Amino acid sequence: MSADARAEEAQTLRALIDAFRPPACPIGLDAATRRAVEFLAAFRATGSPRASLLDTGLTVLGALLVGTGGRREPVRRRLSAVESSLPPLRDLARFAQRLATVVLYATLDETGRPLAAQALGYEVFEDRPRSRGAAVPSEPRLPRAAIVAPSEPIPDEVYDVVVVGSGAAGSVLAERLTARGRTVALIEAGDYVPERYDGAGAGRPRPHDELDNLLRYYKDAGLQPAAGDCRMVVLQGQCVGGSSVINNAVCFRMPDHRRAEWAREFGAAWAAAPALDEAYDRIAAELRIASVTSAVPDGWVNPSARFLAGGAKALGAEGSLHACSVNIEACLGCGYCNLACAYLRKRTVLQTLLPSAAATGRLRVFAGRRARELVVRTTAYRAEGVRVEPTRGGTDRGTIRGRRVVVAAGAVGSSALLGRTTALAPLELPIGERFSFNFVSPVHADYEAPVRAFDGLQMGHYCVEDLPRDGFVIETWFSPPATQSLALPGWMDDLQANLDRYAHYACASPLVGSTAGSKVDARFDPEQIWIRLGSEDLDRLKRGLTRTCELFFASTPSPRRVLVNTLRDWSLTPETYRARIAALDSFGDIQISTAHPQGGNCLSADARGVVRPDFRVHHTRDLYVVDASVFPTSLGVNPHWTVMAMADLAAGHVADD
Amino acid sequence: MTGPSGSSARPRAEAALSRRRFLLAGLGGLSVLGLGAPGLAPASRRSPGATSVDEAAGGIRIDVHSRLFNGQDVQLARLFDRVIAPAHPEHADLIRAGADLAQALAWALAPSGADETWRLDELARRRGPALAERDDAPIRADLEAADRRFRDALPVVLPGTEFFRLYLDRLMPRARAELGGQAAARLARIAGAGALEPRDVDFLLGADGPERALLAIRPLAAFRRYTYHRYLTVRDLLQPGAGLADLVVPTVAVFDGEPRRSAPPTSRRDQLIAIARLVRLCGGQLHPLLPVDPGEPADAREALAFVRDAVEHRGFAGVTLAAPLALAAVPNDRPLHALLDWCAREEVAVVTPATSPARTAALLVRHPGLRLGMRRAAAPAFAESGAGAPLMHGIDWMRRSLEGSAREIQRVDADRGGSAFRGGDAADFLGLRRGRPARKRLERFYDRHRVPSPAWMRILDASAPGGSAHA
Repeated sequence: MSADARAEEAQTLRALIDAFRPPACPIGLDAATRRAVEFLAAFRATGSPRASLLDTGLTVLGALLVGTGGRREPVRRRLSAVESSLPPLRDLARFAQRLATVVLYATLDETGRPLAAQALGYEVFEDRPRSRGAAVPSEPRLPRAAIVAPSEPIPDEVYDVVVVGSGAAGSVLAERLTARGRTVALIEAGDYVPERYDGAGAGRPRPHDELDNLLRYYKDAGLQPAAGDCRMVVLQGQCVGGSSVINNAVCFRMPDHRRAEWAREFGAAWAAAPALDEAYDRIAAELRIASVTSAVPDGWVNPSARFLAGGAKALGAEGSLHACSVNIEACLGCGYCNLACAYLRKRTVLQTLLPSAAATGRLRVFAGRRARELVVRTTAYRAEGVRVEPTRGGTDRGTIRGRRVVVAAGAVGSSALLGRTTALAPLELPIGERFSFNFVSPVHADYEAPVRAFDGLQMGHYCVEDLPRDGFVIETWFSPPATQSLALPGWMDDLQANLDRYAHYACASPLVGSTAGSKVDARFDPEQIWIRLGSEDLDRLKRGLTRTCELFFASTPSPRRVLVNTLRDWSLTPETYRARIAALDSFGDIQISTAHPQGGNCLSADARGVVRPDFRVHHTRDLYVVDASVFPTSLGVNPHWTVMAMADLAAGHVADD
Repeated sequence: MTGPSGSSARPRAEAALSRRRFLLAGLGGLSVLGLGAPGLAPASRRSPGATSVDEAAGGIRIDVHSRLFNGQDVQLARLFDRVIAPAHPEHADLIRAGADLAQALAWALAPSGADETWRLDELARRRGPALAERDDAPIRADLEAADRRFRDALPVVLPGTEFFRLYLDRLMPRARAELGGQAAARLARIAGAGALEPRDVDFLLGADGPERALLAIRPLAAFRRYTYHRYLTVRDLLQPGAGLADLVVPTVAVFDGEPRRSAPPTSRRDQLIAIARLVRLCGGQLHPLLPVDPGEPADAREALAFVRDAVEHRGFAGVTLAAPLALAAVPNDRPLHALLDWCAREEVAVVTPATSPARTAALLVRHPGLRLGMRRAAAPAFAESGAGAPLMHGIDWMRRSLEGSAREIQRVDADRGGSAFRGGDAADFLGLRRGRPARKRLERFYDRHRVPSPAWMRILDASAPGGSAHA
């Protein structure tokens, strides 16, 4: 990009930030603009192909602001006019608001404090008294010697197994296979980020730096888009350890009705077998999965839970509120689960399975390398390796060779990789089809007195009554202000007014397992995620939102209002919420997002399947897929634990097949 | 052909229309800033006196001049500034003032390549693979939605801009005389308020509205057209009974060779995937030329694999080399030579901007048998090169994608005794005759996708090799 273009872009960013910046904001316009420019530069440097979306958006916004002189009031008027028009122009205005708001609330001052966020009543964990003296557990770490940096040559070696993806499934496979004496090459598109913040700015980002953490740990800096029936963000981890590093650490077993369905409808007998329970138990022992009541000894669970509990009790549904099982020990309640828990209380695969695998000396982790295509011999469809390239760009392409290949790059990445592999095309497998996901749309309950929901574990409790019937669970959730702003409704001053109440909110969201009609389209590079949702999905969401409102309004004290993340008419009262939610008639009316993509490489014994019930890709040899992409239907609960248990079972097939 | 008479006195030089002149002539008629397929006005495609396919006595009509893209595929602002504005010096200030605006609208509103592919998948799923044959509700809905988005967006982005001021300045002086007091008053109100409402957009763009009646160019109509799905343009080209061509061989890039400042939202690759999807829905009537820019190292490196995939599997008819510098760079450009070797061997047509006769001759010597088409009318110069390969010159091509050009083609053709536009030449150049490799590739493509033998094939087979066609 030329210097002129950079200067123009900075001017556009400055005008946008100025337009959305409250007059009393303690973060200066210069500082916020600088932060935005730095963020964009860092985003481009990640090698994300989605950076071009930002480029385009800013170019168009720059053109739309011509004639305003970049002055605050004319820019605000112009943006408001754009926002009042139809999509996709309206979406552009909303994008501008999200970008400017996140930057404002994530900009740190010279002491590392997000001043704008603090003005909302937020405290970074370092400033909370209990952070003092909080020891960081001494855990085994992934030794540097196990990591092959993208700048290093690919060893001329044939590994027993090449695993693509180092997240929940890939890590379990690496541990199980190395324990069986196999050599394993683990390919990860993201970087290896040191587990611990060293306080001097090196290694991993500051624990509370929302923008830096997004850049380092999330695929496309958290901006992976999906389009179709709605536009939404698909959050996935992209780092060594994958989503397990940035998830909420809540652990659910596969619901019984899904286990039965997979066995009955798709031929996955293992799903209904006791062996799966045993696999869950093994993982639980390794990750020390336990109830949140014991994992958070000082009670620093999400404060939202007490309002849900009160509501449930008032409604006579006490039994519906449950403490989550979590892979956390001695939680400090910093609220940074989604920012990769710098205090190492979350027992991720980086602290457990990967160090165990590395200790055998049989694991090599190829970090910062993107799997471009599988090497598959077309005669017998035998997998022989993976072509890789540096994620951050460059021409240093190569092939990591193996006797077997396991694709475990997540629901999106795995579908894309199989779809890009031209050698598989003649098989006409339904790659990318039957994509599904659990989606959320947070509800904020605004209480008179401060709730300080940020001061505790992000997610600790859930409500469920009859999952097969209802199709949703309700989970508590809360984040630091920049991230939380994305879940709040309102345009311009309205959003600001809603953000001003940040410390007064309790928050929970229905989590709905979608139908399996969406698609990962690997014809495009990067792949496109197409969302196709049905009336059943909308009905479930509406029921979930209604129930969440019921619970909050039934709590004592009662909230002043409840906010849903719709474009208009988002402030609800006990008198209005039912009718307002009932009036939602499409996913264009309400913002949803997902962090649980599933499907795309359906596991099925019949022609619907990309993989067989033993995880081998149909009609191929030595090629497996083991991750959430094989789910025939969405779980409707967090899939993390199930993915790991499934990988535990699959390791036997991969090793012994 | 049967064309307008009375033009036999036209000088020969005027008959030698270059591609560029075709384009620019179209702009004057305000095919509008539409350089290419966007900007088409279907009603004008068939000029009075033009012959039908049946009347053409066995001739085939092949359109190799159309362009197929929407505003997401190009650097629209630069196109306006560098190509369209210089062609219209009298409106250059207006065109340049609207460049960024047009680009912003197109980049914000037009479907991306991926969006369009998804939409085509949906259309095919719902109504079967026959885009050109029916005018049904989903397609009308796409068009109406695009118009609605534009109508809604224009009042947001237009007022207060220099373009809008200049635009109204051009409309207002003649409004009262040409359109009457009511229209003039409305324009005055719009100008005075400095604002626009959706219904004003309808007024400006209406069939009898000020833009059409008072301006030599139609910028807002062009802005709107750039926001459409690409397939809507193709559908216009292929509608039964309305077309002048039996086969459309468009180029899917329109403006290239410029340094990239801000890349278009739809990458070249994504555009091609969308177009390839479209080809399969067009029943053998659409076979585009694949653009390759050998000036881009990455492109050159991957060009051959990309071209092979497009030509062998996706129904592309040939290649256009995008950058004029390509031939200048030939001596040291190994990837390009590998590509041209393959094209020569497989009889894949290559179209390139003409450079010097000497360079072209050298190229043809190095790649014997290369089917090389020039994008400029430079037949005499290249004839002197003595190369025996099937060359194709601008004058051989039928131009039909710009409003007004059909009439001009007819006039030129009439001047030349009905031999100016030879569809048979295009068929030879593209290798469409029975038994040729290109023809076999397309036959395989039809078999693979269960496309019945298209009309162009029957017409070509029924006509004598080299026979003339009529535009």
